[in-house]
Amino acid sequence: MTGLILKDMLNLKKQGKVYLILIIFYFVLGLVNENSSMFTSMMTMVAVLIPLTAMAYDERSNWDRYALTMPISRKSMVMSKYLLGLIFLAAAFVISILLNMFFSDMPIAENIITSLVNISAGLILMASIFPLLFKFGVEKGRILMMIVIFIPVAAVVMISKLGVPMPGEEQLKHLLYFLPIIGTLVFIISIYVSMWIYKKKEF
Amino acid sequence: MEYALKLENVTKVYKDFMLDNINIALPKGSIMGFIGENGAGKTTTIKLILDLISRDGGTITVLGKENRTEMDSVKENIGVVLDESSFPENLNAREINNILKKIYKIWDEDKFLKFLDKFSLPQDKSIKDYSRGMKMKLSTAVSLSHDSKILILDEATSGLDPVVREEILDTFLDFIQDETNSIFVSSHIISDLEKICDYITFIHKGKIVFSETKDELMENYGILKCSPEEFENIDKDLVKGMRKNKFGIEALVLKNEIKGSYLIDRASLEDIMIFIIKEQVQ
Repeated sequence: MTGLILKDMLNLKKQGKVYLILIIFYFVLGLVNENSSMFTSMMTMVAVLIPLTAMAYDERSNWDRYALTMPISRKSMVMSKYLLGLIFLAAAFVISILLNMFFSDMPIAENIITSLVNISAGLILMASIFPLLFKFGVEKGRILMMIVIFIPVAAVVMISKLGVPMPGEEQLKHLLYFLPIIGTLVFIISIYVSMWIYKKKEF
Repeated sequence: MEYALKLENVTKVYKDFMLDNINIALPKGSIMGFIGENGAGKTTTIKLILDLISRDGGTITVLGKENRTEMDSVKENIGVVLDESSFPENLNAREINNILKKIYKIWDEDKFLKFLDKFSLPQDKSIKDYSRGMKMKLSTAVSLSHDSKILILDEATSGLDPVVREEILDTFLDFIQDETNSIFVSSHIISDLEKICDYITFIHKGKIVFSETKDELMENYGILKCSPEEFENIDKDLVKGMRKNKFGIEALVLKNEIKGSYLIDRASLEDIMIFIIKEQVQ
């Protein structure tokens, strides 16, 4: 497993530089505005994009077929991608909390909750697209991914257009408290779904 | 006899192609060449052996272990070279060394670095800048730098220039010096296999045509050259393939069973393969 994660990290060195510049840019922006929300969302996006890019590289070089002839199980192949995403999400979480702590006067509880909500969104995003990527590959999966992201947005717009009353601020707050639990749950289920998909995959 | 690789009645069904009751047995300590046209089922068979695709019937054992349930215990001992190098392209050989050190329990770093040297593979160059020959040499180095007891090679020498092919073949011959090691190698470059193999297995349209020792093949088959009239008198059961030209008839025959004095030349592996494939087309 460490071997697989090391492989992705080394392989993505070049992209890493681009992401790093992006992250620094938003970091500085966050500092100037004393608001880290843009920065956290950016970090979350990058955390999702990194395993996705790694998968695209694997696909292009037919790596999976080769890796499975090594002492690597199909389960580890799947797990390594989730872990890769998780590592960067965790980093995003910590940096975002530190940023708020030192450069804004946000109360600590609010700080942790905002960061948690952001990371949960990352978890849910990863959880919903990974099984698609494992099933259809990055090329085809990309289109489906757009749809997956589009559906909830469309649903919200539809519902508001239909005149269904929007949840009040209190209800939303409750929902936000539950988001980390929902995120974790969805993430774990997603791992099992991906493993099930990958187990049957032919190379 | 102990077998390094054994396939019994292995079947895989696709919509337009079928691997039909494949039986292969590779004794420990030997090299088996796996020959056939493009699309005959060589790569499919190798994928089945490596459990990269699911089979529809039969059993496969690698180094005595069932390849679906017990494969994990034996993967350390399998070296694989596939028809294309499969390392992500931003990596270089030094990084690959560091990665594989973590993947294989027994990884011989010294040996790997020596191979890089021997094959003149630069350590700091990205894989994407490697030529096809360099990539194949890199895979070969990897396949030999862990605790391999069997090499499974799919078209490992195709598309390479003769010098590189020779280098790679020599490395394989070194490997087989240890009599517990075995090699299963598919190729359509038959001259390569003729040089190194003990056994030849010939697959055609998803079926095994024969699986014999090379010496037996060379001894049994011959190319008969005769006139059409003479050909009439020959027992057709002994003819495995024939072609007409303006000088008469050339036929692949079981030479030891032909009675009478005819002109029979030595048949090369390539002759055997081509005659048999042509016969099936007619």
